[in-house]
Amino acid sequence: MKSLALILGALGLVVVLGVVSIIGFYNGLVTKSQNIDGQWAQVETQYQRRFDLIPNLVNAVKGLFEQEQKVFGDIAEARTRYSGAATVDEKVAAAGELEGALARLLVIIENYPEIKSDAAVMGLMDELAGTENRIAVERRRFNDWVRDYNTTIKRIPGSLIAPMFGFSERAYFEAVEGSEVAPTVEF
Amino acid sequence: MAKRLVVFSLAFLGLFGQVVPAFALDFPEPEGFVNDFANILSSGTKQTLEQQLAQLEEDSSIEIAVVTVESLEGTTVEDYAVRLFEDWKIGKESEDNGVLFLIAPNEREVRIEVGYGLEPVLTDGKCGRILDNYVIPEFEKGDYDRGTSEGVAAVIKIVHPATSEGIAGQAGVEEDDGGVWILFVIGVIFLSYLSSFLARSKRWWPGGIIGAILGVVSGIFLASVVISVLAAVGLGILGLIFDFILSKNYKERKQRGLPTSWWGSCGGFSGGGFSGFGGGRSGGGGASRGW
Repeated sequence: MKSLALILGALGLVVVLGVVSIIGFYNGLVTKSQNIDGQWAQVETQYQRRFDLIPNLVNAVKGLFEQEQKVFGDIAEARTRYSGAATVDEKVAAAGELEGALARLLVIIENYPEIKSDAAVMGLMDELAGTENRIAVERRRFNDWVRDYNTTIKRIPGSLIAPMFGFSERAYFEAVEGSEVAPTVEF
Repeated sequence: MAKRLVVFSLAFLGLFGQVVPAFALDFPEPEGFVNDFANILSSGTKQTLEQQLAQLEEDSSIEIAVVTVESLEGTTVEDYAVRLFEDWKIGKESEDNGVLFLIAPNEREVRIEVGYGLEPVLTDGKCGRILDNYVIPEFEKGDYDRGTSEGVAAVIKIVHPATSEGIAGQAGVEEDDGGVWILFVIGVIFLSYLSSFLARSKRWWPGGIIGAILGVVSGIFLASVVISVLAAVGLGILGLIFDFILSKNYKERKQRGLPTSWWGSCGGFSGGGFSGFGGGRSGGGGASRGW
């Protein structure tokens, strides 16, 4: 009788410990998931910053070269698409297009030393380069958080517990095809 | 290939324990506001900068780190800067008011990385102007001392103009304020020599003995045995504490490689000194240049 009580007590303790650790694990996953969402907001903040900056740069250089109107058209179009984007995927796609067009514009500016040395243009170029760098930094942190989260739900005991509560793998932020390659410009 | 290797090593690490970032860089510990790991700055420049940055921190809580590195370890100056910032946490925690002035002489790259909190003040455009106008022309001539000093001065002028004026004032001619001033200076010099002696002596009891002797002497002057004994005990204890703090401070500074001379350390007390960075963050703001 006494040993039965002991066994029951031990079992109870194991169950309680198990439940407590599952709750702890669940909460950990929620936190990690929230971190990813928060970091995504950071990435979007930097996208927005870039879009806010672009009209200034475009206005500063637009009149200076008439033969490059196509790139300004591309930038305006990508901008419109970004503001109209409903889903994250659409936003990422529009941001990627814009990135390509901006890279072309920067290469064009590089080719005009007299424009490049204009103080206003130089300041804007620094702001733009800074924005690109900020986006890269926040994206990297986003991917770090995703990796942290994905690793947790794929390892034991995560692989057993995560499906019970509907936690699934999160997608990494992949650079849009071609956006990291500087385009060549012909004159 | 490299990617596969990383994936493989990540999987391997995952089996046994903590996951480490894919491209972890090894950063040295900060030694002060100025960290000349590449050995390109003169000791005079380092002392002056350390003093100015300690002053800035005291005035405004803004933390500026000046760092020279021998190698960027294969990554870009932007990436190195933001990771070093993450590692050292320059700036105060709630304000993110740090700035990193990173110089890589071998790669010929320099970057000003700005903490989140200072981004509205020290904009990317301003960082670019500072590098173009003050830093790059000197670096091109090989004058790292001048380029770094003027660059830092320009940053201070933007983030906290009051400190900038204070520093400029110090360099000017000192005002003559008559006899009291001279007495004060003599007193300070005497005290500084005394504390320098006590600090260097490593032992912490001579301060107590000197205090006790001063107590006895003052008692004799006042011709009272009671006062003499009380003063000897009181000043003795004060002296002990004073010497203890000084010796400890001296040892700590010595260990960290900080200046221990009177002027270099601002007396070891005023100017705040370096006691580690405060937990600030940055997000890639700032500007970079090559030369």
